[in-house]
Amino acid sequence: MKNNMIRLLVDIILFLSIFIFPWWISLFLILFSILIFDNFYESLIFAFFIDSAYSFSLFSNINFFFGMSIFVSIFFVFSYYMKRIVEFNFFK
Amino acid sequence: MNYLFKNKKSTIKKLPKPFLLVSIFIVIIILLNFLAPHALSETVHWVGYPFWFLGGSVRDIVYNTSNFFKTKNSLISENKFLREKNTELKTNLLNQEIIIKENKKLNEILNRNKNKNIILGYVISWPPSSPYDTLVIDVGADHGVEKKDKVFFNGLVVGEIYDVFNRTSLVYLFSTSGSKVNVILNEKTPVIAEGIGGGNFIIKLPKDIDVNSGDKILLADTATGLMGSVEYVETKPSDAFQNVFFRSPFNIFEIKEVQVLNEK
Repeated sequence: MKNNMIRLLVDIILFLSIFIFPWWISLFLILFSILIFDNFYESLIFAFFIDSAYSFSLFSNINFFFGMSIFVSIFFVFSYYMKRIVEFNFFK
Repeated sequence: MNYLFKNKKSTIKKLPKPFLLVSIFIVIIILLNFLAPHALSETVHWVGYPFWFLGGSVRDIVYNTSNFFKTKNSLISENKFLREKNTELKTNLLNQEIIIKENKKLNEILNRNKNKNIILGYVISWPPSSPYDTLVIDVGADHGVEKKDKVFFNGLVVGEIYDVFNRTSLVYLFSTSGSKVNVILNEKTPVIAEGIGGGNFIIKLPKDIDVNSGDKILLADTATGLMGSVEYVETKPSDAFQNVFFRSPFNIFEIKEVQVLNEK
């Protein structure tokens, strides 16, 4: 129950950070949350939010607008395997 | 004849659930990217609109608090510098008014008066919030903003409208790292300037072209689109080219209000 409350609070902070804080703070918070929470799927939504709000493409042939989403997705998978080796026990 | 072992386990391993979900997410992202990249941007901008204003207020509070703790000496020197700058700007403004009147008269004579509409907009999100070096302004389709409209700050062109939503617009800055823009150097040489971020640009030119610091840079598409002036020229004896650096005369991250030029 306590963990869920903390997770909800982090979700709210992350959501606000997208619109208020510099992007590197938001990204750091997202990556940090992925590491400390189990299956932090919200991170993908937040990354998608950042891309949808601010992204544009400079290239004329291949337009790609979801760089942040792909980066967070890769980190998410990477963290899944990393957590098997290293245990983060912030809230345990 | 070969027989399978009765207790042989299936060789196909099940993918972990997170891996599977992330794969689905990536597939959706890729499909969205090619079919409708900004399909949900309107919704995100609608949701973010009040929070961007909140962010602006927080920013102002932090800025004002830091100003409160400035020393008396630094304030005196800043005041002196600003007074001098004010006198200089007043003189320049007198000249500019004459030039604007002359320009208007010439346009009337040449019948080149287009139906121009200037829309004032406030910046609600700056590049530190955006990883893509873009601005979000509080005017959109409801106010008559259209894609590709040029965005000005104090008469200097800074970028163009990339995407328009109902109440907001996404502005792409010409100085974004990697972006290329056609400019006119010193009112006579058409060249390509490359953005290097933070309101700075670089132009690569052959050494024989004469460039000095302070030379004006104009945007090629518009007659009045002044972009900045040359700050520094870098030349190397071993290189056949020279690097010309120019920048906007203001801090791009401190722009608060912009003018959108809508040419119908």
